[in-house]
Amino acid sequence: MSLLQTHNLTIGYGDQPLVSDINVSLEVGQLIGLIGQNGVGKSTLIRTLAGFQRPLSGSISIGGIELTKLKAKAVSKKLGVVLTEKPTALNLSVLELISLGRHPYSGWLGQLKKEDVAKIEAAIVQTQIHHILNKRLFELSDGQLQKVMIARVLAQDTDVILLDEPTSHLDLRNKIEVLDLLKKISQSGKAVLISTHEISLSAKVCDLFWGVDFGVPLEIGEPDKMMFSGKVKELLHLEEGVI
Amino acid sequence: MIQQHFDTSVKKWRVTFIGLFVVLCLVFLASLAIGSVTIPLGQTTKFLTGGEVENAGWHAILINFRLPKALTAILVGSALGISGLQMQTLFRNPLAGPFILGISSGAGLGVALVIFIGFAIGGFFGIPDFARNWLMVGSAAVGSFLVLSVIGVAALRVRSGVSLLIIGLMFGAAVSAIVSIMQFFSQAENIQAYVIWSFGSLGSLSWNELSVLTPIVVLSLIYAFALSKQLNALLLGETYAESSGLDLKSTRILIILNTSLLAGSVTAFCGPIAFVGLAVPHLARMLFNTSNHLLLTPLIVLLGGILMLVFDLVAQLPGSDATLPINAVTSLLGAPFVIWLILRKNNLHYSFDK
Repeated sequence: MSLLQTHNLTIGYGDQPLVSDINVSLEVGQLIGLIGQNGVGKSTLIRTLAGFQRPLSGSISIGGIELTKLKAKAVSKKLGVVLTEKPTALNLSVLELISLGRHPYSGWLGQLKKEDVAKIEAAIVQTQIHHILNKRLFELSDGQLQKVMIARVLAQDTDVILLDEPTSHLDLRNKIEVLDLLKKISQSGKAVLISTHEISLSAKVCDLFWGVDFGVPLEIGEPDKMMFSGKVKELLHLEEGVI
Repeated sequence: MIQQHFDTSVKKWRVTFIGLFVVLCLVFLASLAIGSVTIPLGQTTKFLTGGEVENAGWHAILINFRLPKALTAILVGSALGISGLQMQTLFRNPLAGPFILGISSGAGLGVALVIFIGFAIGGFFGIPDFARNWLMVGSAAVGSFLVLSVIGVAALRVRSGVSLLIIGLMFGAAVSAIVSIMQFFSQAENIQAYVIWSFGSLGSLSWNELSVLTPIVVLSLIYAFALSKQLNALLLGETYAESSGLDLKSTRILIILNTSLLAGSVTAFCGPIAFVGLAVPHLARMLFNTSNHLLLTPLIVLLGGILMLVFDLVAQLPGSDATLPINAVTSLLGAPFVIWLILRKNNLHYSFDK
């Protein structure tokens, strides 16, 4: 089942298109890796899909409804994000931050109902962060913070989750843990899109790669096939013989 | 499991709130009792509970001067503290305060215009005191409202909060420049009148004026509490807030409107009172270690009221007839306190720092 679809979508800034005529869809249970060089438009695609930025042309539909026709609140119940930027108030406690994930559902003052508490608890169980609930965000390591941000978006309870470079700044063990976690999340019936430079690790968990490069259409393919056919090297402009 | 976390924190905060409220009551009582004439605490309590005060002079002092002034101090401290909190959260900037968008400059321009034009036409100092007071209050309100309208239009057009902040700063600077030019071309007498207004004053409010200021501030404070959910979402940063379903533009307008009512009404009646709006939110965050607006709003209302009463007590120079300008006292006492807290906590993560 398709949760998010684009129709001849062109993204970019002003009159400068970065990637043109994107026709892709995110399906239930999929984990998709968005790969490409720096500056090619990975973050722009994520920002456009999330509705933070207008497409230059074409459209995006979420659950069959066009994104521009949905109010911010309706979008927030269908699509959640984890961005590269940190939250502004780093003295929030972990539990407070995760609770803010319930913003679209909580009462007019942010009161949590039984269901909200249950969702928060489920997010904490899934990300395994019980031991740091009372810590402040500034006390966390990068790996812990990333898991907490993922817990927040899980608490938001959306079908689609977009993550911009979720494994950057992490050590190898944390990269593997985060990718593994995202795989499980996608298998629980959500569609997950990550942008990443971690090609070989993400190839192990991703169902598909979306490859973007300057001036060419977006490429879709299974990670293994794209790696063996040399497509990945071509997309990332890696010379033969490097590494 | 999680429910327990929430339950214990509710109990913990209840104690804090009751404690602060008791402190507020004590300081309030002290501010009624202490001044150029000391009134025994027993008599002050009797007065508050509606009993007869032994000395008719004491009764007159309490009802005409000290009670309205103490109430004004609480309103001013709470209003400026909350409006500072809103600006700091909205602009994610620890240096923001209630006057960051030029509200006090606008009020200043209004007052300056009334004083200087009034003097030019003549007779400004001839009209009755109460009419002159209301004229100054009205002009300050109109001045800050005009500045606010311009900021409001800008808020609808620009996307980034920082751009809006810079527009506010520029506008404030331009408005202050106009006041400077007017001062440059005017007589010593009206410059003095303007400077005295700019010192701020808690004691100049009659019951009449208080009956206008009180409902505006109290209703705005209640509305500020109702904005807690939106302000909390803004703690994540604008993009995350938007992806949590927050309508950024309308939220921004509501917050600016709320802040201008709080800071604008206080400035109109009491002059531009410095420092409190900037410092009280920081104090609250540092002392109580939270960023949650549902907690910060009542904490700042209580803390702002307490501090303003204390500042006013000091400004009275108890036991003497002289008083200090309240604006000087707030900064003189407040600044070392904030510095001491920062050094003691040695912790720069309490608000917005990375």
